[in-house]
Amino acid sequence: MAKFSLGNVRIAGISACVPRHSVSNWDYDWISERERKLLVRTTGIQNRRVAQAHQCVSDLCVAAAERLLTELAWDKSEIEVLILVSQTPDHLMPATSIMVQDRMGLPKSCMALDINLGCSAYVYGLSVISGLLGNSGLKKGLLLVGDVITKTLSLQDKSTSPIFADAGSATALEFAPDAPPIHFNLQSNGAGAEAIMVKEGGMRNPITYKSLEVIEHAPGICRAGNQMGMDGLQVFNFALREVKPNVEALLAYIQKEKTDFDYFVFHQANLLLNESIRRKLKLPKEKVPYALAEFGNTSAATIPLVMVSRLGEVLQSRPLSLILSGFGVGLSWGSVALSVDKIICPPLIELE
Amino acid sequence: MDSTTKPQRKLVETMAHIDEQSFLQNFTELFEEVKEGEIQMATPFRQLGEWSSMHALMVIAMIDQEYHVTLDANILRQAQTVHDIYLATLQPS
Repeated sequence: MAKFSLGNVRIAGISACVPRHSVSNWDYDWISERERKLLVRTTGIQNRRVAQAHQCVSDLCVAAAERLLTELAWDKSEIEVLILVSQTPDHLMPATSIMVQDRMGLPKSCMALDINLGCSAYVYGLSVISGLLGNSGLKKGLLLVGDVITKTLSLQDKSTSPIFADAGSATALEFAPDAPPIHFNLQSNGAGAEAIMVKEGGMRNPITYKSLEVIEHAPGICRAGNQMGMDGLQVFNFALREVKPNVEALLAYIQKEKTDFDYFVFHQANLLLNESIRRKLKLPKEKVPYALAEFGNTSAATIPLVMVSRLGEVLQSRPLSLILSGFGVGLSWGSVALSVDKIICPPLIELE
Repeated sequence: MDSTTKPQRKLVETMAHIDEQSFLQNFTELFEEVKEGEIQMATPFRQLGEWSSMHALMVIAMIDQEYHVTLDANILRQAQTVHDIYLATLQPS
């Protein structure tokens, strides 16, 4: 297993941004009223923020990053690493992070790269940027994590449309020789690649006129080839099987108990799945914050969005030990154990 | 179906016992509108008016919580009756 510890790096601050436009699942009339009630009850998702045509993942992440840098009083010329983790980049090429470097006025001495991950994005992103900052001599970096996943969805697909929403985030990290180590347990299983997939529009299946044809895959599940499909049953089964042992293996690796941690922040998939995982791990409700009712499943952005919208005040006011755990598309999953000490955490930003 | 149900039946005798009535009760509790006794072991659950794709997830979650068995997605897809799910719970893949 990819279990490892990284030192010499600390999180200085986190911010998040959602589109202002809000959609209620009570208005999702593609399904019957009975199905709608069941959907809201089991997924726990009432409202979702949906990016408008002019809003891309860069817009959400840049708004979050600009605010964070202002609050931190960091000079942009000091930023030497910029990593953006998303499955919904602004363009197929070039990498969105490079365009963000110019747009934010970051120096040309800043390295910038994109990573393509979804539900596990935040945990994986932290591992890459922490590894760089802790060992390279680079001092300050920005990790941008987000998705505008609703742009890939069909409104006539009840298995995805009422679940997913959009958000972006920014995390500022810096070299800190006295910082406690950050511990990771990261896993992958490409055998489940088709469980969540946009089948057409890449190089394997280039987009054609046929890609835009809406096909009924099952009752209530209609989408085109270039829209995201999800095998909910398979993803559910995968997460029930894998998340608990992943978290427990991380705890065993660092010889800590669940009681050593103040909060467990999980990827926000849906309430039924997340509560099942919480009960399997025997975690008390008060240690497992949710943002599902208000923001839905925001793909890559769920973990930082929960931290900012639900834990913002405690993150700023006292030291915390946290477990963060992401799981989904890939299939890719992983957990991180980290300590933060009164970090900067501006209130959630809403973008017009 | 016969070739697959026979070895499963045999295994039932050696596996930990799961009470059929309590299994049926846990299954029935996932539905809001069914009347008491409406769902039996032989009930083809997909034909229940209330059945939806969301219920498949609820069945997996219930069995995971109550019986510590994580049902394979394909097994649930192939199951027709409550008894099929009961057997799959006794003999997880």
